[in-house]
Amino acid sequence: MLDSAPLPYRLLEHADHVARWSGLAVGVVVAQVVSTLGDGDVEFEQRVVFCITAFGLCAVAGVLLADALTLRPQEAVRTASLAPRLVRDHVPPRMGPLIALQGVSLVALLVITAATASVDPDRVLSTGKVVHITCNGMRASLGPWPGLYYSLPMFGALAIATPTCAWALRRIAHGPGGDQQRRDRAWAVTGAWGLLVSSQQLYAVLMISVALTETGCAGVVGALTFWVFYPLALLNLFTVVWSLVTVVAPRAVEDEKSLDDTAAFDSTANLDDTAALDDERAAEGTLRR
Amino acid sequence: MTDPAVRVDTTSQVPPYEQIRAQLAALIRTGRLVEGERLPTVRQLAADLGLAPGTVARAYRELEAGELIRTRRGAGTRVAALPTGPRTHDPDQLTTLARDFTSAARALGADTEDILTAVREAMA
Repeated sequence: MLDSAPLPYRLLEHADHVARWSGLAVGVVVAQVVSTLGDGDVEFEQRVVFCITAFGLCAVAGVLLADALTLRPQEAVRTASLAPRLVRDHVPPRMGPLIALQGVSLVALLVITAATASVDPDRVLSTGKVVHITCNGMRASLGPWPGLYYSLPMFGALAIATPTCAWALRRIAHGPGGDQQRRDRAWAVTGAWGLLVSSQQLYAVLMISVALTETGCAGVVGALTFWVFYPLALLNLFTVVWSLVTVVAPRAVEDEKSLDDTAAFDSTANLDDTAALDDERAAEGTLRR
Repeated sequence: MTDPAVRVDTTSQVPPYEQIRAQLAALIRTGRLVEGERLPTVRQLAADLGLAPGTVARAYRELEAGELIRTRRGAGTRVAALPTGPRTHDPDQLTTLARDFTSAARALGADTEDILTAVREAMA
């Protein structure tokens, strides 16, 4: 089908992929550069947060660039369907809500850890990386703890990426292009935001789990880590992989609704094929007569 | 059944906003678009037709002035109830519809006789 499309469309079809992959490639380079910044001055955990955040933001930038490369209709006679398109019809039906839920839970988690972190009121931005607990009557400091010191860049990235991705999804749903193209782009945007959210949550959860299991006071805290944070880390790991694959190749991932759509398309195609075959046979019959 | 659609010929003498207005008005008056049915956003229709949003917004404004559609903030644009009372046709609109139909039919390769035959058969 692409072979019959005009040249600008064919070029932009590839530019679309290249832009998304470039976002990830630039993200890897930027993360590498960020990881070596301020050696000695910046802690390892802080550098990891910067790397994850920079990579996620570059992935988001790549899919936004890909979206900007959509051609407007050029034909003299143009037709448009009057069926309204909604954003919710374009995001992955199962993974979309899951990733949104992860975003909400990440904000809640970071607010809780920021509130519970030990902060020096005079140096709010450079403290808040440990939590003080009392264990068997002894006061102990546990860390690294995702207080404001670590979570501030995460909040910043979320504050930039969330409205940008929401705007991009709205733009894609109401913008030009074919249904498949819109679906690919909306899924890639969802994947890029999912990559940012789930990688940040994965790291925050790992920090909390390490800090909580560091102490000898297992009890409730140990149970919380085992039953809440480890499954949450696994879920985030799954979302990171899903999001990465979705950004690289949106058509490689499927879900129930899309499979239904494909089945419907296939059955329609089969009906069309059958009708075409009948027409062919009828024509042959006419010729023989 | 396929979704109703609008078609804009950018080479036509008729301005694009008028083409959209006339087609939507016809779809509403003939019942293809029923009361309460939601219409696409100005942005969606403009993007699909490759037109400026202001062009589609003008068509929507004129339809709203003709009480064929209603726009509410947050609820989008929907088809309004058809005005009651005797219906008189708009000669300008009829001319636009006829011009659109004939240009589309000629684009298919039909000559004048074919077009007139098709119209007679449709009215029979």
